[in-house]
Amino acid sequence: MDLCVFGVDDGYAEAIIRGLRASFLTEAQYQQMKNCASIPELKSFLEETDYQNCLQADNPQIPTSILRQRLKKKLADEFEYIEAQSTGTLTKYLFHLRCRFMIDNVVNMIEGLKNKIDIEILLSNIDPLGWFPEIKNIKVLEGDDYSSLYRDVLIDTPIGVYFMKFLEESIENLHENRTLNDIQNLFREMKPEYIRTSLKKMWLEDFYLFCEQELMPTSQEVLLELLKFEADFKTIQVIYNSIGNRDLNTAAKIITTRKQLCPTIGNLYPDCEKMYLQAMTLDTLREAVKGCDNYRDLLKDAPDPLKREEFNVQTKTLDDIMYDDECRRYALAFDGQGSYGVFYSYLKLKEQEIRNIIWLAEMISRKLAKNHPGWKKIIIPFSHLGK
Amino acid sequence: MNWGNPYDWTELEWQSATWGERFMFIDPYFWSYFGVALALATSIIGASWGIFITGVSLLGSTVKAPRIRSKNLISVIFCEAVAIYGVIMGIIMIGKVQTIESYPDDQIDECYTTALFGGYSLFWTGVSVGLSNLICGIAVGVTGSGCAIADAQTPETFVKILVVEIFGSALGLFGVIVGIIQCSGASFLKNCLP
Repeated sequence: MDLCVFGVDDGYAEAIIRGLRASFLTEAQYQQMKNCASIPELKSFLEETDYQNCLQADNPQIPTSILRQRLKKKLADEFEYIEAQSTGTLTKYLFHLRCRFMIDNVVNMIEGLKNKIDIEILLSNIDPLGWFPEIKNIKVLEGDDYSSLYRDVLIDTPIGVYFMKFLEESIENLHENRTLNDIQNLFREMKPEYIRTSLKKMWLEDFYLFCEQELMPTSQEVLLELLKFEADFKTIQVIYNSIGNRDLNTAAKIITTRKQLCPTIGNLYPDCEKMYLQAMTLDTLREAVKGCDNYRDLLKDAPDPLKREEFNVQTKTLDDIMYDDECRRYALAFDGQGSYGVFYSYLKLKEQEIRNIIWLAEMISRKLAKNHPGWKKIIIPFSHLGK
Repeated sequence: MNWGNPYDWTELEWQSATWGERFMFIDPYFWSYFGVALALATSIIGASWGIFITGVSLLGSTVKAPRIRSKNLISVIFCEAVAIYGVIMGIIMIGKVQTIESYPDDQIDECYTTALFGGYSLFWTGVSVGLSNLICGIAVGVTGSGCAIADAQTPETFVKILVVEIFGSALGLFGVIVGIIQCSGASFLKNCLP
């Protein structure tokens, strides 16, 4: 039934996105990219693909950071076009999607400012997908007054709501008779990764709620599944990364931090919550998630986080394994017609493609041998469907 | 079966009339023209809905793959055919309606019964044709939209989806065939000629 009315508002935007499906690089093209001997060769190869227009103006010996910026700019332009063609719920939905990148940008800016990095450099490094006009208002600080920085962020940016919620929560967690000084200290010492993870958790929950309340049944069916997986992915990531983390020395501290960072949605919550919060080794984590989906199979190959120091470029990390499964899910979601899942999947898969290109560019610029295992470490979007 | 002329009914007779009797005296011409309107309008709603579903997808896909634009107009034509079925049925049905100046006095009941049969028959023909074409239009539209999107990615799929579309389009034709048979018995004057 959704298909009859989906087209009213969103048919055009959806069809454009489906047209863009042709711009994904194929497996054969990846193979050719792997055979490139130098960065100029890679660049001239990319100019024959859909990326031609965004690279033409550049010097052949393009640094990877600029390359990434160009590729992201192209994705951002496409996304902006779709956003301009959308109306009503879809516009709101697409804005929600971009919030994730805005959070990244704002956190990066704050971190950069704390470390006294020049604001021009910071502005040139922001992700074009999460660009919004107010980001320029985040200014260099006078002295050490971080609260004014947060105040600027709070008032000015579209993601201010999340910041507000986050700050309220962290201030509440302070001891009873807190002073203004304590709050200042809190702002100064807060780790950017912590801020980022908390904000993204809030964003994810908010987005989930939005999907649940405002979208049509087909979109819900597709998206809620994807978001549940993403939430589970985040949960597993948080638990995994906190195993053997030196900053968190007591078990109680680990559990409270985990509780703050793990999303309260997904397949794992709330059934397995008690078990995963207390998982202190990889084996107990595996045990905690075994009831859900195929998570145990995914974790089967994950390297032990306690031996983190031994990881090298060859290790297939947890993130690699999860991205791989994620890509399969997104490719499947992309093929369903009449749902908003296609926009989400497109964004995610393109991000993966950019990650692939950048990874290959790094490999090429380091001139690694062709039998190096790192060459295999790319996840090709839609390659799972043929199998 | 002598109901008399309802226009001559007294207040008391109206009050004591059952719903069946009141229903009976809805004019047969009202039923037949309503049937024609239903057949035409519902078919056209179906067709335009289908065209619109196909159209947006076709336009969107054309942005990145301009080659599909003329080829996929065939989906639009299939939807259009559904509206044409409605028009054809409308013309056939309206041809069945005959008017009469006045009923012969001694045959008024027979005449009215015949006319009533004609009216009902045309009305329900309109319903069956209209509904089957409405659904057919949507079916062709949704398939056509899929066809445009798929053709933009993999041109080989075009012919295959077209077959599906043709079968979808046949559904409306079933409605038309049954509709023609359904309304073939309708006549307004068969038993009334002096």
